[in-house]
Amino acid sequence: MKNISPHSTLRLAALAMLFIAATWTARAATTMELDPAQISLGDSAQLTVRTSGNGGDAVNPPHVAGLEFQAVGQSSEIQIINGAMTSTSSVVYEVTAQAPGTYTIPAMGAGARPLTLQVLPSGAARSAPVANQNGQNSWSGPSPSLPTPATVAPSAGATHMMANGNAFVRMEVPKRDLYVGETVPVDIQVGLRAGLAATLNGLPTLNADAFTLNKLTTKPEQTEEEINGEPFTILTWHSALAAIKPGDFSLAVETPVTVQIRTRPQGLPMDDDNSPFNSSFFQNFFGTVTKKDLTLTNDPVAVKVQALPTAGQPVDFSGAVGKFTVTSELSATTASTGDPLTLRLKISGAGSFDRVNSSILGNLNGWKTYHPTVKFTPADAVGYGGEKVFEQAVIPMQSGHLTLPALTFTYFNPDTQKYETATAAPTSIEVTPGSGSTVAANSPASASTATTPPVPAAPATTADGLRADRVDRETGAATLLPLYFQPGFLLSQALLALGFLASWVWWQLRERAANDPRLLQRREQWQQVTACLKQMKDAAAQRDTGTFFLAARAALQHGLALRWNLDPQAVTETEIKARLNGSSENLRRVFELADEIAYSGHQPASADFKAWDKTVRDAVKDLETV
Amino acid sequence: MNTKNLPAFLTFGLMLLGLWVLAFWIYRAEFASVPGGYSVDHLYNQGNAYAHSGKTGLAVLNYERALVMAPGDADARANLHWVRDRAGLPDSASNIVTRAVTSLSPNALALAGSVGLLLTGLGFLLASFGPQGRWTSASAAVVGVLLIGLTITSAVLTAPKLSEAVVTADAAARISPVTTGDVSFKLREGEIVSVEAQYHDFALIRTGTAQSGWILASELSRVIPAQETRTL
Repeated sequence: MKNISPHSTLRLAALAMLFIAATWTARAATTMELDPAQISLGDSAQLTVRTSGNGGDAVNPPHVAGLEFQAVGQSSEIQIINGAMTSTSSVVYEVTAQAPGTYTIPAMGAGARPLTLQVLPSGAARSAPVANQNGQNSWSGPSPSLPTPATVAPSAGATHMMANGNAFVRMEVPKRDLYVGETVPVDIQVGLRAGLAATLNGLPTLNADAFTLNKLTTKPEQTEEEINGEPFTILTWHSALAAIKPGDFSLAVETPVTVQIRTRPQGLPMDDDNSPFNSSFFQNFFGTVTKKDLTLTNDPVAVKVQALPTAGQPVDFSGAVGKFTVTSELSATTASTGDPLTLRLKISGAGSFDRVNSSILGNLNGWKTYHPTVKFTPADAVGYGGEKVFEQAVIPMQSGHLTLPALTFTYFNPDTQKYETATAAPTSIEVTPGSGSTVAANSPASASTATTPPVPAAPATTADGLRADRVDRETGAATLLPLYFQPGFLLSQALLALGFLASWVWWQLRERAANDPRLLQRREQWQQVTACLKQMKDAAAQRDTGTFFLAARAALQHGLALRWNLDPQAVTETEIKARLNGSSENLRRVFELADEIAYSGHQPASADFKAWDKTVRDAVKDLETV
Repeated sequence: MNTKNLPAFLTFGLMLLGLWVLAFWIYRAEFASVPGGYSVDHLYNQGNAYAHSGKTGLAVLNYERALVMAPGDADARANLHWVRDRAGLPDSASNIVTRAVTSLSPNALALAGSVGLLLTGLGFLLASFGPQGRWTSASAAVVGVLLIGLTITSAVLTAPKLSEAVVTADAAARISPVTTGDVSFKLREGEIVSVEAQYHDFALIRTGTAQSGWILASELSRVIPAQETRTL
């Protein structure tokens, strides 16, 4: 390798330092480009900031009140031409406006000039593509002139196009003057231009708290509609709008959507419609897709809500507003006392059915009444029209020609602007005396005749799916606790079981004792002892000394044999002496006297029967413990 | 009095006593009633009324109470299923044996158990008299034991009802019995839980999925009211 001299090294180093210093100190130049310079509210423009030279990395988004900048891309390149190196970096921002107006975007670096962004109200026609501050044509996406939907309801607000004419929302309200509590059917439609990639982020909601909207389905009706030659997909919700407080209101619905906006690739020519770069394929392939959250709103609809007149308001008015008719019927024209019948009150029409209420019949003399059940059958999808049926179980408590009073229903008619009362015809029925069974009644008059509870009518399923009410008694059990958890029941059963068990055990022991030979023998011996003692007592009474001592000896023999487990004949004077070890002189004396009487025939002239009887009985008493 | 006849007299006396006890409890269970007391029809009608007014919890409570008194009541069971279905609550799962045993009235089974006790007792005592009628005595004892077994099975299967309660309003179960306690899970109106303990105004409950937490006792109603709960 060739040696490099120190001088050459110094020259190269100096050249390099000069090059670096020249490059480093090159003045940075910034250009800004806005595309397009005019947009509709809800659309976005693209701001590209290019910085040549150094310091381009430090570009920050500007702060402009009412504008929002979101960085969507960044790139950089380095060029070296004839030894001169230039670096260029680009930052691309998505610019959206919060309100219509003209905004000035300040210069974002040396050499740049401020740009102006004009934001038009939604739905306003935009001018042709305009040049930005740098004199270049800006490209705008497909921007059909704002269409008017073919089926705009006359009373609805105008269709409010958003997102470059790609989407709208509209609401059809049949009338603008309402009363508090009045319900009207409304249609809410959201239109999305065919091909637009959009996502509904929620259901349409009202912007006013003076109204309520029936719950909207998550699966709206979907139709196709052509608006100004453009195909649109229309999502329609049918609902009912109810006014809940008086006042003048601007009614609008809001629908959150996310749309995907595709922007044109940078640097494409705008003035050549035949250019292949203007084809949708090319733009879709090379364009930038950004998601944008939007809230679609319609033009507010002015609605006036009046309070219901207080003058002349009936006492039984429940708040129902609309137009209704009333009919009533009884399930039978003849019955016996105690027969359960069903009274039906049908209220048909259109209006605020949620306020339609009726207690039908309260306490009525001669009748027993129960709480009514209610069932609403809507005639349309939103429940604006329909029929509400009240069913009440009633039981005639007395015989004869009975008439149920006419049933009425009071409501406010917004057309006539008056309270009206619909009345059903009175219902009559022939009631014959029941066959011995009457019903426990509320009324004291019939309570005296009440004997047994009625046989409940066979339950039928009501129209809403619940099985029907039954006739019930006024009384019932004091507790729900099942018997086998009640302490009293358990105690009685335990005592009964204990009684049976004790009896059985006693019986078993008794049987066992009755069949045990040893026990039988002992019992026999004891009976002998008892007999001898009785004989002693009799002999003492007759002052029969001989019999007395013979019986005494026999009692002792049987008794001591029982104690010593011997044969009674084996109990002798010697045996007693040996076993009692001299502590039974009196017992031995009894044996001696008895032997003397038995063998010599001599009978003592007198004896202290009482003392001898005590001696023997004491000895025998000890045996009882044996 | 001849003591030889004592066992017969005793047996007869116990039989009379047993019949009297049985009659007393039959009367208490089936015929004695108090104004405003619990009746199946009344509970059923109350359940219907609450179901119509959209009060799922109270509707479920009344149907459950009706079913405690009459487990075989098809109408109450159907309406309970209807209400729970509408509220998105699943029916409680049980096997066929449980369903079969618990489909009989607890009170009827308790009385059957009382009859079983009488039969068993008499059967054993009569068998002690001698070989005469031994088969009859044995049969009575066997039937009695079976009835007692059925009653005990029913009691064991019904026992969990003593601690069951219905959530009467949507409630939050907390990890501790204070209103500031962290919520561990939510309970829906109409759910049935088991009450395990009570601490001041809170009840410690356990759900069918074995989740435990504290909720306000006022948000619960016992299926069988007035049961003692372990107080912490």
